Amino acid sequence: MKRLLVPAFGLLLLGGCASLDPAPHCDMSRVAGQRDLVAGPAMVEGETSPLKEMPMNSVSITDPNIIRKLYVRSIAARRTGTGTVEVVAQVVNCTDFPLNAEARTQFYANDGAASEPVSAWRRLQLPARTSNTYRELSLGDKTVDGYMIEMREGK
Amino acid sequence: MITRLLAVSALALLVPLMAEAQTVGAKVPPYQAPAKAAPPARDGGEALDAAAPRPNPFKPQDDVIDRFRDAYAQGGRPRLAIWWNRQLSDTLAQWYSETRTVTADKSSNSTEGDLSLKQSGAKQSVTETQRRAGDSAERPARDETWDWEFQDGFLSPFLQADANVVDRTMITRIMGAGAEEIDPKTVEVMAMQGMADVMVEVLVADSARSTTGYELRARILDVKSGRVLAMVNSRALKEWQKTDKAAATSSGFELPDEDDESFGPERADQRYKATSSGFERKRKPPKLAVIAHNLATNVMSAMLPRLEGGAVPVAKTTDPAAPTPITPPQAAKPAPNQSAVPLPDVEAKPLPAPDKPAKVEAQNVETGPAAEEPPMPRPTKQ
Amino acid sequence: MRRLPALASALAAGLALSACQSVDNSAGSPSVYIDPGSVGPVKGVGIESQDIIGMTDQMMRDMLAQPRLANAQAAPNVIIDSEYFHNESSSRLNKNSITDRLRVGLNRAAAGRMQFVGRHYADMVAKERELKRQGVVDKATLPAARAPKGGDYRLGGRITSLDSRDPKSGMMQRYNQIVFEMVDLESSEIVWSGIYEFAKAAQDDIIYR
Repeated sequence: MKRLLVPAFGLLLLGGCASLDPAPHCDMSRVAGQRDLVAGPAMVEGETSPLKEMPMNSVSITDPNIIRKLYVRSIAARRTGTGTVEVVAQVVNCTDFPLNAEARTQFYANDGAASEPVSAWRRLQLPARTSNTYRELSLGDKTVDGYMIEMREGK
Repeated sequence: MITRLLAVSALALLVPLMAEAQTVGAKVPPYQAPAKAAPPARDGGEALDAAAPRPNPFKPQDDVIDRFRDAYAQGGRPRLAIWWNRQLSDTLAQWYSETRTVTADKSSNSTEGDLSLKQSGAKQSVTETQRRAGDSAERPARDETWDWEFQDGFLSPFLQADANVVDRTMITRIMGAGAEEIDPKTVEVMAMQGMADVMVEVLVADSARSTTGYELRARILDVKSGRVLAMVNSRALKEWQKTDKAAATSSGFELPDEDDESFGPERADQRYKATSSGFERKRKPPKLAVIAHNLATNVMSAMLPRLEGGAVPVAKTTDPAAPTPITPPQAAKPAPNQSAVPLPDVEAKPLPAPDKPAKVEAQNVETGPAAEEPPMPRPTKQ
Repeated sequence: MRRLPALASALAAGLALSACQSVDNSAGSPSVYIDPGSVGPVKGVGIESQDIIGMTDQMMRDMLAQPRLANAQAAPNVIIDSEYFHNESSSRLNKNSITDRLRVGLNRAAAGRMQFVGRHYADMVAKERELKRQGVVDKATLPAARAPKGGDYRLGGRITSLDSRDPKSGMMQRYNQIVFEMVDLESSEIVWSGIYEFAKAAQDDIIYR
């Protein structure tokens, strides 16, 4: 039995060397497992909303075409010199093909209502296995308290 | 086994927490009013309100007019005859001829033997065809209304200075009344000499280099001596010089072209017109009346030293209100020049002018001493 | 065991009910209206509605993050029109559609952080001022101003393009570059710049009218 196992182990190692893919590697099953949709804002007091959505201050990939191709590495929000809010999201293209994505941001006031019109779709070019940064600035300053980024495939 | 299960479930619980840490971004930092941006430091921003308006070189120069008034009175109030766009020419008569026919009656004259140039009793008549010469004083006519505006602008400072301005046409007519047979040129000179002291000849010429499309020249002449008292050329006036500044264009600032010889008066107030695309600068030169007014004040300035120095002769005896008309036409004529070639007896007959619709008149040429060969006609100039 | 069919039927009914209440995930009714912010059915290599919306939105937000424009001690007077915004590209377009959207978007979002000068209404204002001063109309309700507003900053910019075509395939490619700049009208200092660029390739260029 041991005689058989040693060559098999060697083969496995060989196989491991052969499949040296360039980074980044996206473990989509973990990404899917980590996704935690939250209930939307409740309309009736004491009851949860039947709407399940991405939490506030997150990127929601709304397009099934790219949901398994892109990974949002990080999202940051900061105030600019005029008090407006800048959100920055780093997006990774997990595929071996160039991708076109576009994103827009809705900024919200602290009462949950949209504080301003949604931004225009901003195009993101993602060559194979690269990351790119999506940035958006708010129009308002003190009215902005939260944001939600939507992302879809660019056409 | 149970511990393993617990560990797995604990891990499963931890995973969503990590997921949130990764996909959910940071909250928006609370708003804190940022410090206001200070206005940029400027070297002369506050001077904008106190800025004086640009000096207008075409504004009425009352000080010059006042000085002229004093100097004019001091100089004996010479009468000014203004020639509007009429150039003083050296043509003496208005009539000229190209041909003449000489009819000599030699029946009673024998030319045998020694040729005698003395002719006694022999008659020789010369038939000369004359046509009226184009008036060399005439210049390309401008619009009538242009003339009006120009004359208005030019005369107003002189009238303001209470100057004796006489009209060329009027004095010519007065002088020539009853003496229609005398050449108008002669009448003109007599009128100028008798009823004016200073001639102001104002000329306008088309000019492509000028922003106005024309140039102006004024000459001030003493009608008695023909002396040039002053001369003003618009090209040399400082008001007509271009301001030597770099021009702002869509491709930056452009320095003035050294070879650019254009000139012309510019508006000082930089008028802007409100249009649907904002304010647009009016590139029009100042109004004609303003330019003419400016020329007049420049003429005044040029005359000032002459007037103050007493260089302008004034005929005290003649009064423009009561001129001496030419009663006998012959007598009123200037004394014939003895050195000139004797004029033959010429019989003139009218001939319609082919090129110019000029009025054709017959005119008797003075009968001079008879000669064998017809003398040359009077030197005329077309 | 006899309960099994009953349970199964209840389960089936429940499933059926849940199916009825699920999202009807099918396409909506077709319409002639399309989203101007997204690529439409007619697409070429030129500047299109989604590009105009995209660029003006980006520039507007960027301007509002520039302290000298949007956080000055005194709200600056800005002029945003197409007077100094030049189209040097091969795209045929009305540049007013860019500058107008920018001005409207900014004015709505500025909330007093900037003041806008309607320079393209200069003749309208001048006429009314003249009428008031001549007494043809009354003074209206607002106090008089010595002169119309002057500008602190004005938009300038340029649209340029680079075209290339493959003669074999007829493939057309165009790089569009749109530059926006805010210029200090006293010192000619450029206080803010923004660039929007994109390249498009298509089999055949469509006709823009």
